[in-house]
Amino acid sequence: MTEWIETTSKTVDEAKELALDSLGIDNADAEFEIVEEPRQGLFGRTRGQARVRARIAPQSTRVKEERGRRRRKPRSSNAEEKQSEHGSGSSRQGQRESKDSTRRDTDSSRDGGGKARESKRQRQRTKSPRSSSRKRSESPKKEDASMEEVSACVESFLSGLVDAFDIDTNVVIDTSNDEINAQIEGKHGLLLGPKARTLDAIQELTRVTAQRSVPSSIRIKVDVGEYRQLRRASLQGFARDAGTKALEDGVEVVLEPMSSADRKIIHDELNEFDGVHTRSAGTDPRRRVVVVPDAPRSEVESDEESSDPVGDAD
Amino acid sequence: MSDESLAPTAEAVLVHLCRSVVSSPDDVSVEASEVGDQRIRFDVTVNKDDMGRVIGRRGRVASAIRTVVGAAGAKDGVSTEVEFVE
Repeated sequence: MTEWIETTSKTVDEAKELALDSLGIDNADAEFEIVEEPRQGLFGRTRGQARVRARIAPQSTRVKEERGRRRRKPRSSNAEEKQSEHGSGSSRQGQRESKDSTRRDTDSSRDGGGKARESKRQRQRTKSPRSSSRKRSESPKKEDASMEEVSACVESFLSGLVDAFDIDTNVVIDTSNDEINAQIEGKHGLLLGPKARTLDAIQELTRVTAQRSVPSSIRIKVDVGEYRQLRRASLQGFARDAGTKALEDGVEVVLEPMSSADRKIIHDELNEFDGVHTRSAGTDPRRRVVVVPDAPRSEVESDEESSDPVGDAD
Repeated sequence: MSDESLAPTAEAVLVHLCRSVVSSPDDVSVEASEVGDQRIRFDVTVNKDDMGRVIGRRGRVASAIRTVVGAAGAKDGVSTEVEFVE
């Protein structure tokens, strides 16, 4: 249930974003570990790459509390590390994880069986996160599939899909910008669905399919016609309107609930908009962007929502 | 595969999606039955080990499959329900 996935990218933020994408969840529901910060290595492919592990947070309420604590104490003291060592085998997991598995250990001594196995697995996993994430991704042959392999997989999945739909159209794959943009040509409302729900589902299934047969950190987007492009443009206009309103009225503007992808477009757009900043509030199905004017109100909202203990961000 | 005429598009799409996300595509089978007026129920059987894969984290894969199959069913003029059985 709480499977870890691992992503790599040029920056930690990008890797996190990628992880959220492939898990298909919102920041608030995710738990991250930074396995490797981007740096200039000497050898190997990981040079200059950020490596992040993420999973769906088991219990959002507890994770929230713990996550805050972890952030305040990013490096646990040596003594604590030693303590947690026999519990989880690694300080990387943070204190919560180690506490968890210690508890599980005691559990297992009582009921034995499945729980014991579980705790063993957990320990293994924490010792070698990379090998375990590979094991879970079904295809042990390679860590990262090439752009060609992934785009071939995406193309065959989508072609098969439009065939099954008995729709006569072309699937065009664009692999520039180190990401895969798959475009189903033509205006097919059937593949779009109300509020693009069908398209989102298709994209989700495309990612799942690709991730399982050719695991990689390549970002995959699926579009029908030019829907997403148009949608992006209109969201950007909407974001600027909200920014103007917040600036002129000097009050926070709370937008309607949106998907994480839509919220990102808003955040990105208003990032370049002087005089306001944005944050997100609420939990996922109803998570929404709040546009905050920089100047008037005295209450200073942290941009980093997850480190804000009182905010309702997570 | 059962009666082709029930909802050919939805069924073809469903089979394609399930085969794509599982690791044993050959073990995927779909059975369609009419459960109401213009309403088709699909019972999907997959390999036991693939059960988690068709359902996905928090049922995300399953609900994505249902959404897309629903769209395909619209083409057949039927509403659909999809159940996954071991």
